[in-house]
Amino acid sequence: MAGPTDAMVLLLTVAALSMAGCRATPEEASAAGQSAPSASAPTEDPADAQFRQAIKTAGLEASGDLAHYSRQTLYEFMDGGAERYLGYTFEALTTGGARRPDGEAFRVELYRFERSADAYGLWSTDANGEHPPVGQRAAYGYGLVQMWQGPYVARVYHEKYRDSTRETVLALGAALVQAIGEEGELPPLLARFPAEGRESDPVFFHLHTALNHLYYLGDANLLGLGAETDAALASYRRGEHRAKLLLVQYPTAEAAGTARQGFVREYLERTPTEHAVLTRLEDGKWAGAAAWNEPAPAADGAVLCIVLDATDRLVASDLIGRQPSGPARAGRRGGSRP
Amino acid sequence: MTRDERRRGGYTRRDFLRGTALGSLGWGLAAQVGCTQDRPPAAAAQPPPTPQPAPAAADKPKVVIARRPDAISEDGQTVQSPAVAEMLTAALRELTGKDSLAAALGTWVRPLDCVGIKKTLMMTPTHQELVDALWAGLQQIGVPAANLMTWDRNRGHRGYADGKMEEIEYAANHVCKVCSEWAHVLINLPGLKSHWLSGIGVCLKNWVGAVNGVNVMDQDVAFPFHGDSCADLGMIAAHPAFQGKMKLHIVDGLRGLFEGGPQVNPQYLWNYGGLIVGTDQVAVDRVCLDIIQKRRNEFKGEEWPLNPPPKHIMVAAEKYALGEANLERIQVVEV
Repeated sequence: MAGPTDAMVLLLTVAALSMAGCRATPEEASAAGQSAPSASAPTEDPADAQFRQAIKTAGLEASGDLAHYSRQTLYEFMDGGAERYLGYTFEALTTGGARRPDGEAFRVELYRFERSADAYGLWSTDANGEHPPVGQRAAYGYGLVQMWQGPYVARVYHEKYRDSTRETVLALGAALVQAIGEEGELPPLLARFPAEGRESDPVFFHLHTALNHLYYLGDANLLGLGAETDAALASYRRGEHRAKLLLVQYPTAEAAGTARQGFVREYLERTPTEHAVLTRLEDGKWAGAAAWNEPAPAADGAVLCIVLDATDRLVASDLIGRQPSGPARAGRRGGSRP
Repeated sequence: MTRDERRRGGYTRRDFLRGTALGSLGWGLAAQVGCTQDRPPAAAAQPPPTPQPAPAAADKPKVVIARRPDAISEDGQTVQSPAVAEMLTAALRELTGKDSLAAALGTWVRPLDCVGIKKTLMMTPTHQELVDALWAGLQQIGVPAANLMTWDRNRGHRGYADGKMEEIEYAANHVCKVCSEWAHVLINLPGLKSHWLSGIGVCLKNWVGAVNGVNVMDQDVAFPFHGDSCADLGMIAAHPAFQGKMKLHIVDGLRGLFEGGPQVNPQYLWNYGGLIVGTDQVAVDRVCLDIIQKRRNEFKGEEWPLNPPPKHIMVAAEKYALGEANLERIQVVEV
């Protein structure tokens, strides 16, 4: 497709400024737009057709051209926030606008990931709100719906975040899901979380920076998290007691063992042993860890189970005291990302 | 391994629970990570931080909070310019003891000074109504349009409302020339917001838009601040190119963001309807942290710790000597 027009650039900028209720001067819109040309793609992106189809299906009219961003240029779209996406196998973002006959304006952001599990993971980091039946998972609130569908995460929102546009936002979201078509699988690690008392879908991630946003454990990467580790965090409520369970899947038992020993020594401040360790912290809550080697045929991997913020010792003990059963790690494609 | 040896690798959550992390600065972050009074005996036996005498009020940096509930509409889409101007005037009068907006701004700005105003355009941008109110005060002082640059990142607006856009250039030291070569006075207009990577992104974070050549990997860059939850953000404001120029910090708290950021989920926007103003940006950030944390707790109905803890505020105080991070040593005045 051709490069973005000035009108599109203006639209995108005004849209960004209007998110927080600001009015933009034409000079600002023009200014911000001048840095956008590098965001354009020289050829037709596969997402373009999905966009056009979805907007048409939802009974809206496209406004402006589409803009495309890669791993290298995502900063141009959200300076300071791209890291959250780059912590997964993010590949590309397509953004565009749509307008209702009455003039109400909407924005669509479609993020494509190499792995469906990572698309789910990114979605899971901000999944609060109403959960309408759109896509494989969705969260809605204040004119914004965020959806997971296959290797995609979509954000569809009213430019002024008005809840009165809910039906249109969800219709556009549903049309986008329909255009995407393909479904994806949840990260296999999620199947290993005990169902009893689990409050919501676990949040799936890879990196230490993601963990520290979800639950600040420490400055250092105590658990040895990285691109080759799958990790997920879930909250539990059993009766009046609460706890968090963190599962980390390592490619080797050695890596899991090193992480367990480091966590026990540095965080629990106990002497590592071969057994599960549970200790009560200064806030009166319990934390502990246990590592379980994978059974054959995935015998080279291991899962580290960590319980945090447990208000009851028995609940904590139960959450880490049983080997989490479930499928082995998902196959990797594409090398070392994120 | 001793605790001091472990600290080479940074703090852990347990240090905050004990109050030993950043404790000498009186952070109170223990509360943020859910610490209760119900401590087991072993922890209770830890020696408490050495108490330091509180400074007299006159010695404390002052942070002024001005709020007008009617300054922004309920849906956050309409801002009342008169209310914003009124808040700015009230805040600066309280901060300086002067009797008008122009007189207050005259504390830092002379008529022929070149004035750089660092706004933010990203996701939750500085409201133009606030910029307009500040421009009005500078115009009353007599600052010529040619001596006024309002900018973020690569683009700036020269002059007042009828000004023109200009490309912002960067010096060899990777600081924009507005700051490093041109301006006598810098005025900071950040938004009130949380940040995914640094905890909050207010005064200290806003200067990221005044430098270039940064990347998240911190590889081959002049300002490698991203590591450890952006703990070293203060290195930007501490750069010699800014010395003596950062005079005033006015946080746009009309509509704040209290979770995530910079990407906006509107569930986490709220109408604070205020400005937070001071000359000590570390103190202003510390007060803003308190405001954001309170809103988070109110939203959840329980402690909702800000993750990661915004250590860059403490580091800016302790390592870069940019200001006061101890809330007990900050004079907070509401008008």
